[in-house]
Amino acid sequence: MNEAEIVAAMRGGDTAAVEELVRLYGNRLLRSAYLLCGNETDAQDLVQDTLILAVRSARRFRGKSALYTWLHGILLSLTRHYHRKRKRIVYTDEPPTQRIPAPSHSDRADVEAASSILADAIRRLSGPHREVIILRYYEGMKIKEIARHIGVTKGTVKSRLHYATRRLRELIPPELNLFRPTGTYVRRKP
Amino acid sequence: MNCKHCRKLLHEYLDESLPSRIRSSVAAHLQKCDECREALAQERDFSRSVSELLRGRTDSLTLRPHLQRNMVKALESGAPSPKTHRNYRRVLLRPALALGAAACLLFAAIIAPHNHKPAPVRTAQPVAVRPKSYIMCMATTYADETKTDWIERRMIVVTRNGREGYLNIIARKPSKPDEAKQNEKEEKS
Repeated sequence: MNEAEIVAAMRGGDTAAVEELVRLYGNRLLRSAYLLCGNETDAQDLVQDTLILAVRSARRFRGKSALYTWLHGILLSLTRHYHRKRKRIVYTDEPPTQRIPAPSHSDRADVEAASSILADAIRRLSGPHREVIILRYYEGMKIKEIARHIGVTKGTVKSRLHYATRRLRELIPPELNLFRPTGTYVRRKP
Repeated sequence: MNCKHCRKLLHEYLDESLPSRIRSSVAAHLQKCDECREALAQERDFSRSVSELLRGRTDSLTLRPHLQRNMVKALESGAPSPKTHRNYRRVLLRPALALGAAACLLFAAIIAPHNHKPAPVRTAQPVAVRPKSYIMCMATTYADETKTDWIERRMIVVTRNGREGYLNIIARKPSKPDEAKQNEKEEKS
């Protein structure tokens, strides 16, 4: 089934469309959902809800974007709702401003530890910052695509990326060497 | 192109979404500026590292098989749709803005004309009135006296050297006769 056939099956209420959606986009959506919400069980539920909602509102898909982009838009919307519901939960672990401790055997080789620290740091970002980081570096979207996807201007996307990266720099221990020491642009005094 | 401008365009430069003219000027700047070149390399490295780490983190995740059955069941049974996040700020702000704009228009259409100053009778410029200037006439009043507590009158004058101009006279409205009587009574008592 190609994309047009899947959309037609979704519009017709054909449950075969669900199978195709799961086969083509299920895992990809799940991985993105996991990074957005930080919990695998909730990510599974979010993907399930996304696909149900997509089949029910297939008439709204106008074909202006790829089907995956449209599905991801629904997922983003559901994730925002999920975070709104969880806002009232107060975490009693370490304060969010504290830097995540580096692993004791912190070499660049320890990719697993590094990815765990990075995922933890992304989870501590604010919602809008987390979204742009995942869309940019995980989904590999261009700036203008992100802007269209989340409904903001390109300038806002770049600003959010800047502040999110700065926050990650604060949270991630320098031993991980994710941010190479460079000549950061410093405004010179006239 | 300076460093500040170049840094703003680095993301689009990496995306290859800049118009060719701007792209070539960014490339020219990058050739001669070490700091910007370093920033570009840093962004490229960071992007690659984050992408690899996140993929490594999530590659083992797969959708549970029973979810597909659940979805088919939910669609067939007509269970209620999951709730989505609605941007209430946008939803509420739009009618509020429309209401505000309507109120402004209504104010402009009904109330504002009463306080509107009519165009001057003659297109004269303000002048310094000196002795032996001639007062030509008292011009129209420039405010609706029934609505305001001040009166503005314009006095058209002609100076000795023949320049024509005006003087604005703004005065507080005299108090009403009843109020004046009351004031007198209060003074007497």
